[in-house]
Amino acid sequence: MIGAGAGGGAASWRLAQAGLDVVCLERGEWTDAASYPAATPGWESRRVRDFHPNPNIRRRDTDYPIDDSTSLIKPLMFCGVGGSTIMWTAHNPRFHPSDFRVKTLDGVADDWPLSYEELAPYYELNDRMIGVAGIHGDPAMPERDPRPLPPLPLGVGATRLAEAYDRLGHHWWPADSAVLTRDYDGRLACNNCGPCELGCTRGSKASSDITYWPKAIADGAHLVTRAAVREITLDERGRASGAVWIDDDGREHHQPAKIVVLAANGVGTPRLMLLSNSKRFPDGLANDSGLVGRNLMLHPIALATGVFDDNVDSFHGPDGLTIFSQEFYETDPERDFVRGYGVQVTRGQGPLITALGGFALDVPWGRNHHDRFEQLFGHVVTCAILIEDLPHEHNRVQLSDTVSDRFDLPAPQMVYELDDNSRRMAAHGIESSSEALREAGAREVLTMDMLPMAGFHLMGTARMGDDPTRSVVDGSGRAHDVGNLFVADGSLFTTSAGVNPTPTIQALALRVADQIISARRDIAVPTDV
Amino acid sequence: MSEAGATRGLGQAILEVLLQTLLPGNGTWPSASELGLAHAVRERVGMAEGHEEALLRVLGALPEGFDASSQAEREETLHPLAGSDDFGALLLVAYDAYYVQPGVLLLLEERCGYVTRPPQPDGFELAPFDESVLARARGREPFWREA
Repeated sequence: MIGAGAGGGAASWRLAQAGLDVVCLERGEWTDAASYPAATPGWESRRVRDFHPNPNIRRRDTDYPIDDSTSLIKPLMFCGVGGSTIMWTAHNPRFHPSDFRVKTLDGVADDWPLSYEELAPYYELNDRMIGVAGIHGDPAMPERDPRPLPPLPLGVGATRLAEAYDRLGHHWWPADSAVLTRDYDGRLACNNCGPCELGCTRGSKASSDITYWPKAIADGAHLVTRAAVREITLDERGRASGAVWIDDDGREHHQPAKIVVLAANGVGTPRLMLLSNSKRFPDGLANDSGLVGRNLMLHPIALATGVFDDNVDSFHGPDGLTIFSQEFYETDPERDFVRGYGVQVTRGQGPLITALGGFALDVPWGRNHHDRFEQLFGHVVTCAILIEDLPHEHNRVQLSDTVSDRFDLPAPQMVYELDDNSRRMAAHGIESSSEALREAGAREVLTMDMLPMAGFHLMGTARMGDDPTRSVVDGSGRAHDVGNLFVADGSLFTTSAGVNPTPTIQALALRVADQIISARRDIAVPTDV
Repeated sequence: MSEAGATRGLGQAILEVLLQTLLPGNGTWPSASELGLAHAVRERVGMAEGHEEALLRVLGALPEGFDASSQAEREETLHPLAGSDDFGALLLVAYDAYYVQPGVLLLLEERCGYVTRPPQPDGFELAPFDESVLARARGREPFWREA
């Protein structure tokens, strides 16, 4: 297993539980919850320094740089046990059934090689494993098992917006949250502190270092940290035979393996595949299709922030989690775009981030700074319009010619531009959200067409599919070109849907693990491991 | 960078003038000068790679006589620099220093209702979810697409 994040944690647990010998190589390290910023004075300033979600700004020695000079949207991720779940806001939505059939229903992109119904049991399993708060009855989604925990409270601002959505006849529902509202599975309930993205000191937020990894290790999985993998090796028959990794002192090691699973996220996994070129695969591992790294999808985000005359207490409560609306989620031929978007209603931020402009805020420096700050701080509700990003081969991860990591390995380079469909969706989302915010009582709405720091959702770069010429892996996550190589992260996504990807990543990873478990005796593996 | 600017350092008075231009106060909120903010900024520039250099470049780009001009004139002088990464770094360290000053924290509590202690370990009350808010949303017929 390469990578101990959302997918790597889930798959490692499932494989270890079934009795397989699992070794996970993780380039980062364990994070100590006591070191998270929220319990220290000046906690907010770490959000813009060593807890910035962008590795190019954070610059820890466990991070690798990403050449983002050719990407409109900047990369956000975390390297370490738990991966980016250390910094996620724990929004836990599912794909819709239609998201798996976009070609059939809407004539765009490709259908997934599996259905919602096939993935649903793994969503349920993941919900139980990580502890999900939410409530049944959402009319935008099929019936499902009850969530293990009741929802988080909405707070003042989200309640106003919910009432406005009701008056407009728009869908809304409490967010599914991977945050505990009661003690669960030995973990403490959330105490409503707010900045989930800075790591959860109480363990109430489901990062995979505290959900899957303790169980995986108890079941025998072996986790090696500060192990930077530079190549997946092949045997003479073209089968994956293990991984070469580099320790802190620059020494190289080879970890042999009968089966290799890549779970290094939608940037790290294609980077590693492209680094692993060989005589058999001169253009990168398992890349006969030429699609390794291609079809990068990121979920562009547009913003509409409502400013209210009174204080709506927007700085209290888990900041990414209140309600969402999927009124414009599905394709409607009357609109000028295909597919759709979801709207997530978020809270405001602390004083530093507010002063710096937060979510589409216009806080000037100079004589007007103080008055404007006071108008906005605690007075805002933001609609984050999360756009389904269609796959395009020109949007990609490739190896940078100019940037390298501390081991002199080429950094990944993101090449990404927005398509017109996304721009039209953003404009529609801003208009519809502005209407809702004004209906809720906002006297002013501030907007942003595209948030640059939005690249948390890294998808599509080793995509699933039945056709080996149009995909890198099959419906079980197994590489078309290397029979004992699997992928278990966001790289798998055939399309992006209009929701946060983490529960789908984890459900897919659990399913990939089950596919390996059931097929392992038929998978041709190196004989000398 | 001007010749004079090349020799400007963070210890010089022009940093105080620059910060005062960004955060001039308004009678309620204190100004950078009233808080002696330059000292806190000097402490912070070393906390992230590149910030000190960025600040020095901004200082170096200021014209002769900047410190003798009016607030309005200084703001006008700074506007052409405002979109740069260097200016962004300056704002970051300036606001970071400002919004943790005891006098400013007091105002955040008194005027904005903001609790300035760290969010943990005490957190805030987690109220139970009020299901009654869903009355209307629950009444809608399912509208997801069969696939």
